[in-house]
This record gives sequence, C-alpha cells and structure tokens, in this order.
Amino acid sequence: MLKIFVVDDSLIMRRNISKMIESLGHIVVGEAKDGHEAIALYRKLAPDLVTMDITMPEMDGISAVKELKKIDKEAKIIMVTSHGQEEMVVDAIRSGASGYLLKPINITKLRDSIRKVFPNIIDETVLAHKETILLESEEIILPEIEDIS
Amino acid sequence: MENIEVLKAVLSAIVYRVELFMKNEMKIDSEFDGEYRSVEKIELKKYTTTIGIGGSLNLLFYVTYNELLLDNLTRAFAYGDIEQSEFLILRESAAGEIANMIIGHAVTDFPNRGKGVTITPPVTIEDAKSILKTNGTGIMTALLSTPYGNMELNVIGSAKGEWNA
Repeated sequence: MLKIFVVDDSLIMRRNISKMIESLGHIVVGEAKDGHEAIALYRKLAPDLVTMDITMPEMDGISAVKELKKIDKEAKIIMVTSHGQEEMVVDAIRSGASGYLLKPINITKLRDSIRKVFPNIIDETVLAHKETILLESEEIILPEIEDIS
Repeated sequence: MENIEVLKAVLSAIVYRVELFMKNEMKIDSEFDGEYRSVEKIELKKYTTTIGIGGSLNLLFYVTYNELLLDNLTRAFAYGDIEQSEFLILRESAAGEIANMIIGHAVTDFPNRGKGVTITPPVTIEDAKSILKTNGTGIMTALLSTPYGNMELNVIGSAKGEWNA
C-alpha cells in the first residue's frame, strides 16, 4: 500500500485520480492544485509517490519536479500529461520524474504507471485476483470434506 | 502559410481530436458537418471554455456547449458516481479539463507539428452572449452535433498576413 500525493490544478482530475488510487488500495495523503502548494506540503505529507500535472498556473509541474528533487532526491514522481507535451515530459524526466501518465487517465493506465515505479507493489487488483484463485481452490476441496463426514 | 489558413489548420486538428475523444473516451456520438466557416460573430451557448494558444502561434480557442451536453460529458468524464452536492463544481472543472486535454492532444497536428506552441490553463465562462470580430481578426468555426446538443469549436487570430514557423 502506497501513500500518494495528487497534484493537479483541475478539481475533476484530482478527484478522478484520488478515487482511482483508493480503488487500487493505496492511500491519498494529500492534494495540491499547483507546484507551490505541492512543495509546501511535500515534507509534511512524506508521500511514497506524487502524481504531477504538467500545465498548472502559478508553478508548473516541471518546475515543481525540480524543486521537489532538491527537497528529496529520492522523490518518486509520475507526470500527468497530454499527447502533445512530449518535449515537456522529456524535460521532466531529465529533471528527475520517474515516469509519465498520458491523459485521459483510466484505472488500468494508472495502475501500470505505479507498477513501473514500484514493480513489487501489491494493489487491490492483485489481491482480488489472489482471492479468486483461493476461492476456486476452496470449491475443489469442499466435496472431499463432505466425503469424510 | 497565410494566417487564415493557419486558423483552418488548427481548427481541423482540434475537430479531429474532439471526434476521437467523444467516440473513444466519452462514448457519445458526434458528427461534424464537414464545414469550416469564417464568421463575423460567435453566439455563445450556456458554457464556454477558452484556452490561449501561444508561443510560435498566437490564437484563442473557444469551445461552447449547452447545459445538457456538458452534464453528460461531466458524468462520462468523472470516475465513479458523482454526488449531487459536487455536481455543479465538477461540471465547471470538467468543461476546462476536457478542453485542455483536447488542445493538448491536438497540438502535434498543428502547423509545423506544433513545435514551440504553448497553451494556457483553461478558463470557463457561464452565460456569456457573444464574441464579435474586430479589424484584422479572423474567426473560424466548426460545428459538431451530438444527441445532447451541438458543440461549437472556434479559433480566433489574425486573418491578415502570413505565418512563418
């Protein structure tokens, strides 16, 4: 389970990403609507991962990545971007971002982006899959128990 | 390339991205009538979002839609169910984010592949009436129809002279 910090100027994007994160079984430790807020809250929240929009007022995502890496050189940041912003994504990766997520976002894309940064992380989709296997194996065992009785 | 042609090329790139977005992401049927119109005035619908396209271009983008269409886009765009208490504020945010995403994706299809183009964060206005053309300005419009009403896409910029990348 990861502690994730969501940075985006769009309310609906913050809401969507946060709800998807929770569906995956992780925790949203905080939200910020621009780079300044993100920097101000980062130390206090101590997240495992940050999702960072690129185009934001006040301070954009790339400047925020540079500042966050000064605070914590181990910070893990996934950039949230549109198709036409490849140059900015390259800039962000050079500045220390760990990966990127292309809009429009869905839960599968988000899960895969998180897994690229944290390959060993177990999320709800993995747990659900394991539960299904467990239930199936229990169904096979049940007749044997009846035979014994 | 003449500036008026730039307006048309930019609008054409945007229309293409809107059609893809509506079909693939929103699952809402939309139909472009195939015409790019140069107009004197834009009559705005209930909600209008504007984005500045700067850098190597110097244009304004306006998308205007009615309430029913925006309501349906908001529901389609939001992850999970929306509480009634949050709907209005999410609708305003969805209008901006959808426009932002469409322009973000369309940039690579702009003249000169959108090299050096920057976009501003979106601004959404409610109940504005119209936008009038002034001297030297061009307004290029495209209309998309959906089961929930029309969506009008507009690009405004200089209509005179030539653009050099």
